[in-house]
Amino acid sequence: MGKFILYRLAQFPLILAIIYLVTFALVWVAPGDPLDQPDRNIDPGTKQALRQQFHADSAVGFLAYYPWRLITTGDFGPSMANPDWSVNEILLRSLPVSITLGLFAILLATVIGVAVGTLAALARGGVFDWLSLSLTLAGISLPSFVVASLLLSLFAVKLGWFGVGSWGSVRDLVLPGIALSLLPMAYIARLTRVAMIDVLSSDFVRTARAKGLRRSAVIWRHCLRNAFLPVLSYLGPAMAIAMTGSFVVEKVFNVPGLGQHFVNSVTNRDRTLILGVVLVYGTMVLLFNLLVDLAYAWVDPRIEMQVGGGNG
Amino acid sequence: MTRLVLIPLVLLLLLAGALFWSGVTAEKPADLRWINAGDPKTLDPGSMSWGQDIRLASALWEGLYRFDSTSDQPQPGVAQSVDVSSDGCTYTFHLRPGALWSNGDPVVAGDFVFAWKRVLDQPAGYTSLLFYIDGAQEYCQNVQLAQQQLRDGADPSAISQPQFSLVGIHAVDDATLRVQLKHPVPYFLELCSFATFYPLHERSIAPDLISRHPVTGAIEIRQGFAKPPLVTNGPFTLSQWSYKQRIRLLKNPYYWGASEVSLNIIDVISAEDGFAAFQMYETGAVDWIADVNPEVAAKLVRANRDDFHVTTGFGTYYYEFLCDRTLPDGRANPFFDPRVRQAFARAIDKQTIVSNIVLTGEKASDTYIPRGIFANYDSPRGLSYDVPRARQLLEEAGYPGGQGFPKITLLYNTNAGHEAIAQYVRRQWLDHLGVQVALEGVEVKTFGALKEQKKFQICRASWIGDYSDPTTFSDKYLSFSQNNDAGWVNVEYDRLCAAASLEQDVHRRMALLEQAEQLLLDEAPLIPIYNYVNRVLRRPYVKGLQPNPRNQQDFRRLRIEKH
Repeated sequence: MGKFILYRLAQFPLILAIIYLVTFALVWVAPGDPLDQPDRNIDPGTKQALRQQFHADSAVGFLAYYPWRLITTGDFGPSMANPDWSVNEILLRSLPVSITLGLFAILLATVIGVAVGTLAALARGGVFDWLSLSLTLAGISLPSFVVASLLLSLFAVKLGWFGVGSWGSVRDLVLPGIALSLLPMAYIARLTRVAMIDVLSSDFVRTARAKGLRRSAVIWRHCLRNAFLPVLSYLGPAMAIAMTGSFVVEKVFNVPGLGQHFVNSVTNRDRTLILGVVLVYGTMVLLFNLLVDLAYAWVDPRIEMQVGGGNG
Repeated sequence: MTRLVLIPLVLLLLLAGALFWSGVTAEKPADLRWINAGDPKTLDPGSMSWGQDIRLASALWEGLYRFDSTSDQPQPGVAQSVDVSSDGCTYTFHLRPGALWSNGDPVVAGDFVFAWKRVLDQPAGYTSLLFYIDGAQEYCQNVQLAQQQLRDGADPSAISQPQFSLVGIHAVDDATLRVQLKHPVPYFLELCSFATFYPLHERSIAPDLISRHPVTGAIEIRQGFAKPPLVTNGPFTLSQWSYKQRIRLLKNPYYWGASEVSLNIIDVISAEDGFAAFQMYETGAVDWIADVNPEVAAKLVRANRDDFHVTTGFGTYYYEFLCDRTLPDGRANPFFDPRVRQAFARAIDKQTIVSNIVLTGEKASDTYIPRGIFANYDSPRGLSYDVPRARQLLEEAGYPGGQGFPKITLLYNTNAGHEAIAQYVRRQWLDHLGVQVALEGVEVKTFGALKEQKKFQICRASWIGDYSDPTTFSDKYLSFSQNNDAGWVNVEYDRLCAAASLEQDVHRRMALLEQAEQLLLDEAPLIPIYNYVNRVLRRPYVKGLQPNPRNQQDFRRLRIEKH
């Protein structure tokens, strides 16, 4: 197990380095410059001086400066579009916000999704099953800006139960959290339902029932554990996505998270910030995939961790 | 089973931790909460160039002169008085004895010298405003040259030292600053109230953020200094800046005019999305939005809201022609001929654009400089909407009914509603002139780059002025201006502007600038479409907000009437 974790961790730097270089290449060939404004040109001498200040006058100069700085000091450098802030400061301020929101959304999605999926499987073909299927379909197909705007206008503006555009209390978490959780919740409910139906008709369940175990005990102890495995493999990428923020949900609720930087940094050609957010996202995806693999083995001891194999 | 339950439990525990990590503690509520226009790009006055940054900076800093909402003219700020020499080139400022920094230190002439030198040493978007000062441009270029030579490996002893002593900025003593200009600049006091001319408190900048180049002596202040704790000299101090969340300003007790400042705490809330900002206003989370999103504004105009205010802005939306003899691809450029440009200009019904497309109270314009924003300046008449004349002009230029007109493209950026206007204009040119124009909508940064490299034939453009003088507009079309994207070269225009810069009599000076604009409008390197407006939403209990074209505010005078 320890060897497996070490092996996977050892792959991280290589994967992240590739991500860094590919992102850098894309960023560098994109037309436009972080210093350009649509209607006002900066004096060419000034522009050159600013480029030099940012070590951005040539691709070689950029690569000679920033990656080394990142490896030795963990510093991504200054944000080229918001020069008062370093990329590290921006990430450190927005990442906790996104992580909080993402965790809340995933927690909500997992608990409700698994419960709904299980109940639907048990009542297969019944009214609840039909109802949950329709609701999950709506959850998957409704775009988040529709859900977010509906929640905002109903619960915050009309009823005044929640504040608008503020951040800092548990209350501020609820609406964006729900908006962000609906899609993964719907997925989890459907994954659980399918897996549960599958497990319920398997031999060991019949055997357990035949041995005289109560239905609830069979479901709790045996079925759920097996039915949860597909959900678990979905949770890795879902968590990485939820915890690095959603541009749309953040925009509607004015949440100061990381999601906005994915879009704004590209629009601004803020090269250092783009690299920062992409690496953070990459790290999260790698980390959560590893965690999911570990949780897999932990939930289902039949799965063995092998170096070079794994389950993710 | 316990293992399965543990997963949500661990998630819950993590959530509690994350909440704690990202949480904000309860604080005293602010007297005024308002939304500027997104988070400021920077609060470093020497490098700021965006309107929203400059608006906010005037709460934190004060120049020798300052914007005063009760007057058209800049009013004394740190300077108590000024003596101007008879040739209009030497300004001797006498500093106010009571002017203090927010840490209690007196504001001295050296603080201005330091800040202005730094703007020349470490140039940014508005450094060129300092080039009116004698020797400033040469010094700035020499610093850049010397640093380039050093980077290229030149021997430090062999390079020519930039001499700051040759620049016309001198601290005679702590209370006297003398500035020598290249030529008379009638709006120099106005410039002295602009962010680029604010002083800086050198001693409070952390030593690791500031350096002086060992060879050139150039000052460099590194990113991150303009954050709390920041020593400033304006009516407010920067107490907190939570990136993209909130800025909290506190009344500066050391400010010389503190007795006139009514508010104690101001919160500037960051909201990038116009609709989110509006919802915050509607639910009472903010009291004032300084710059309302156009789509929200259109709804507010329809709703006839009396807390929504539309006033004349400080800029113009227009289309610009590339006026070079040849196009970027080497073909002959039809727009080199002024008659073709005039024909295109006369074929657009601008009134329909403002009443059916833009919808937030903008005024259709026939002039480049918005009418009525400068005292003593009578705007000339531009080209009117006249389809028969447009057809005739095109025919005279050799394209009767648009026949034989080469394939051309209209460049615009796809954000902010430019596309709807472009489509309408394209239709008008097709219907009225018989000319097919292809539309090329690109993303904003690509647009900026294409435009600067003059890779366009016609493009959408806009210009927003900086200071209260017509030259803030007219300078853009000087043949040597770096912002003259049209590449329009007119010797007479340059001559009229140069004559105006030397003219001391305000009426004769304005007459020269009016002639220059008339020439610009007749020659039509551009087609003015409409003048911008300022769109402000504010609660009636917020007092002291004075509408003005630049949408700047005098934070000293803001107050909240009990409600």
